[in-house]
Amino acid sequence: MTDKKDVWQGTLALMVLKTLQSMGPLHGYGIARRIEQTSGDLLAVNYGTLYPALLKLEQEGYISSEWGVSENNRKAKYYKLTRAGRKQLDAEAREWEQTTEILARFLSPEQES
Amino acid sequence: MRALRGLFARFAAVFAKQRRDRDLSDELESHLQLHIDDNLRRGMSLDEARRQAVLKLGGVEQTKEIYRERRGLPMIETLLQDLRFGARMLRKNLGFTVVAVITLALSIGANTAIFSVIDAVLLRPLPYKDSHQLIFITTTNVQKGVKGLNVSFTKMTRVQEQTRTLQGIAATLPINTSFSNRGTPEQLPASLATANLFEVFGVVPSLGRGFRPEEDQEGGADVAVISDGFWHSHFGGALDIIGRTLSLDGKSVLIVGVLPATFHFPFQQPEPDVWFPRVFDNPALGPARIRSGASYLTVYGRLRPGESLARGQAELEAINQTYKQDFPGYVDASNYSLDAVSLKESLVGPLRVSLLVLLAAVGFVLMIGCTNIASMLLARSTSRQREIAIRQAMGASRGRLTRQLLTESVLLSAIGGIFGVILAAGCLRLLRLLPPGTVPRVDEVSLDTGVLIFSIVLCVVTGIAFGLAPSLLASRGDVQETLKEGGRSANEGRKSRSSRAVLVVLEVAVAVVLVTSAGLLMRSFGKLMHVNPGFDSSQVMTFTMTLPQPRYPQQAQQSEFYRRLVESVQTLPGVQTAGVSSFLPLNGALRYVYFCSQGMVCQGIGKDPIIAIRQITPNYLETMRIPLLRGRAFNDRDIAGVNPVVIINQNVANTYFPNQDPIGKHLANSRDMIQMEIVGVVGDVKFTGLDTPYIPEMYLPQSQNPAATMTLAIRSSSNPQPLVAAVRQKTAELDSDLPFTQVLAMSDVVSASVAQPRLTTQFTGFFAALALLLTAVGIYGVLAYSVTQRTRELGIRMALGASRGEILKMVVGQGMRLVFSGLIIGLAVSLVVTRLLATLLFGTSARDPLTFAAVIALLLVVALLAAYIPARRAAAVDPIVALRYE
Repeated sequence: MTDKKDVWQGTLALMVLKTLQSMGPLHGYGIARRIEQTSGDLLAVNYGTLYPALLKLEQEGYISSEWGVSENNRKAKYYKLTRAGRKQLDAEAREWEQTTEILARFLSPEQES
Repeated sequence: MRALRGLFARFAAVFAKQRRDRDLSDELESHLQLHIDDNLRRGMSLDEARRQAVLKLGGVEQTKEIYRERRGLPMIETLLQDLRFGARMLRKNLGFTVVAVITLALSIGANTAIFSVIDAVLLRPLPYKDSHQLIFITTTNVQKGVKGLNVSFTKMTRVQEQTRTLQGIAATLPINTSFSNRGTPEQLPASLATANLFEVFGVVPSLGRGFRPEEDQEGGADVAVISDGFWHSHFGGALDIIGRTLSLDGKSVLIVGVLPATFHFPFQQPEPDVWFPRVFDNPALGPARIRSGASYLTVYGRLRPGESLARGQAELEAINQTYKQDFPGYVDASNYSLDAVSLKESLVGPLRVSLLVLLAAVGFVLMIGCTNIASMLLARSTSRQREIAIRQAMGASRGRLTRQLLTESVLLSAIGGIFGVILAAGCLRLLRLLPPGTVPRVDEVSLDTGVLIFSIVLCVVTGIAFGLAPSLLASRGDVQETLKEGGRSANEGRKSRSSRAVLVVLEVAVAVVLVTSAGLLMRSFGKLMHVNPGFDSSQVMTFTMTLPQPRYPQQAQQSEFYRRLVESVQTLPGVQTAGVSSFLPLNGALRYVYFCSQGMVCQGIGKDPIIAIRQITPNYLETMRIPLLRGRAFNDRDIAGVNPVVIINQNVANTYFPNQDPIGKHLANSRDMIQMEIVGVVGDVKFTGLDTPYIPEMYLPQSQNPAATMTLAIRSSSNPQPLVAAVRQKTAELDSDLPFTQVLAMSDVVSASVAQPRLTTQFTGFFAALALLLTAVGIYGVLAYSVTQRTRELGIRMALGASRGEILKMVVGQGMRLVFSGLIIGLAVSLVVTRLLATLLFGTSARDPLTFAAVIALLLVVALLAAYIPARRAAAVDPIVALRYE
């Protein structure tokens, strides 16, 4: 357990949005599992942060929720991306790529020019 | 944008909390189930699957709590929680709550009511376009220092021609007009006005038009503009009113305009229903006098934009100077100056001090009320120490506790405030029942947004004011000490007790100031009521009427009518005597003329002294019981054409005929210099107000000096009210189309003349009584509480041999020490503060020793009573019971 990293602040929202984009409507448990799986089980999603994060996204109008039934007939709350959420995802993804690119340049071995 | 949307969602989430909580529980539950299902699929046992899932999910309750904080707004939720808790505490201590709410409702209500009056009367601009430009122009008799006199037509015209600072100057003359409406004669308040009056006031008729300049010239058409009220009450708001002719004073008058309902003219009371042009058509004076400076007009001006009152005033003075030089023979040439004040000041200025005194009074009541509640809260916080200590021990911060206690007090004041505003609304309804003119602009008083904001701010400030000290003190307690004492009603904290003592001292001091002020006003009013008016108003009924010029064009006809009216009314059973007079004492109107008495060097009108003049029938003096001191009253032989006679008052006799018998001497009106023989001397009459000095007066027989407007006075052997119908009947027999302008018992005339000081006195008296009552409750509360707290100590004292008398003395002494300190502070403050009352006081010094002595005595008695009740309870303590107590 100790070697698993908690998801750091700010990236969880992006991961949730991305997950919903690729998977379609999904419940909280599903989102958590998907994030953990995608990370190759390197990340542990703390549910105490997941639900407030979902709530925040919903309050801001990026996702919407609806009660539904899961594949094995369990009642579950399904979240899905809204149009605003799609736009936000694009924007954030671009920003994130930029940030990582910049960081990558810093961290890559120095090149003589 | 998104953040705002989020905030909105959070705000919305404050409500419907339970549903959202259930939703979250369901979601977490479903999460758990899904996880367990997964684990089972992986082949775990049911127990293991559940254990792993729960572990992974983490603390459900913690998750919920974080979620909740994210969901709503914690600050608002805390507030709601505090409010709910506060409401529960208030419900639990119902006695305290009821007393506090009543106290607050009374004081906040009084403050709201008085503030709404001040707001409407003093603060708000007059309801005219650019009303700050409007001024009121009067003349001052420089020689006598009499201010606020009317302006002559000649002087007004002069200003109109020469002014550069004013864009317009207009004038009015209040008159009455009789209107025949389907056979019943009716007297209407009316006014003559210059053609530009409506323009100066910035009002446009809502229907038709105002006066044309040519209608304001000699020989102009008979036209009238009517008020919206009159239009609705008499014509049902019919649109074809314009162009109709009405029979007013027996003349056909064309209606040309209707004023808007929003237009008020409070400078004349009751407000005019009908407006006529041509202010120089004053039947009472005649053209010759009007054209030579007789002052009878009420004059208004509008300053040009950018001009100041001071510049206007300077210009008026300059114009007055050249007027003096150009028309030296005019009555108002030499001794009179022209003055301008802002129109609003002219209307509400006289009321300012009274209103501010009342505001201070209600402010004081509120202060005392707050002090009382603060003191009660302090007492209560001592008994709540345990509760507060437990909260602190559980981790409540001081700030949180203070906030909680403050929420409680603001909630309390808000409840009080709601009742207060309802109370204020009731008070305002009563205020509108006062005779018109007592409080100017009273129709504008309302509980509008401004006033409500004032009340809300007042509630919050009040709540904090009485709640802050107790809550700070309460949250400062030492947790360990309190809990160790196990919540036994230990001795009250020294701090709390001393703050309560300070509160009582403060309360007494404030009450002393208020009671002293009220005492001075009452004493002054008492003196006013004991002024001998010079006549006896009891059982006298008065009827005022004006003979219409068209039907009584000859003076002889007027005189004959009134002679016959008196003769006829005197035959009525129940009427002792009857007489008419051209002016009634204390009823507003009067007329002065210049006169010259035998032995004086006559200097002509404008320079000779002035004398109040009234025309009467022989029995008028007897009817009013104005004492005849020398000579004789008028009789039936004093008729037109024979030797003109006059009766003077004592003031004239003493001033102009000192040490001689005035009977048989002569005096003359400076205008015509016809010598009149003095046949009698009568007592002085208070004519312009009970608080004004006696003035020179003369009475002329109406047979020799007729007038169209007269007041019939009858003296009855009992209540004169039932005679009104009979008098009406007798009048109708002489002229079936003659309405009364005013029917009043003379005692009502006298009482109406002091309506304003009475109002101030009654209100201040009421507030002072309230303050005294609250203070008594405050003293009682502090002592009663301290006695309860000290039951054990008292028991020990008694067990050790203290007698009941000694205990009684001790407790009363404890209270009286506080009262004395408050009394001394209060008296010191009163000596300074009451000086502000000086302008309201009549015949009473602001340091009237009798009042101060009475206040001290009253306060001591009340305080003793308030202290005695708990003291007696203390003395009744049974030492055995007291020691076993707890």
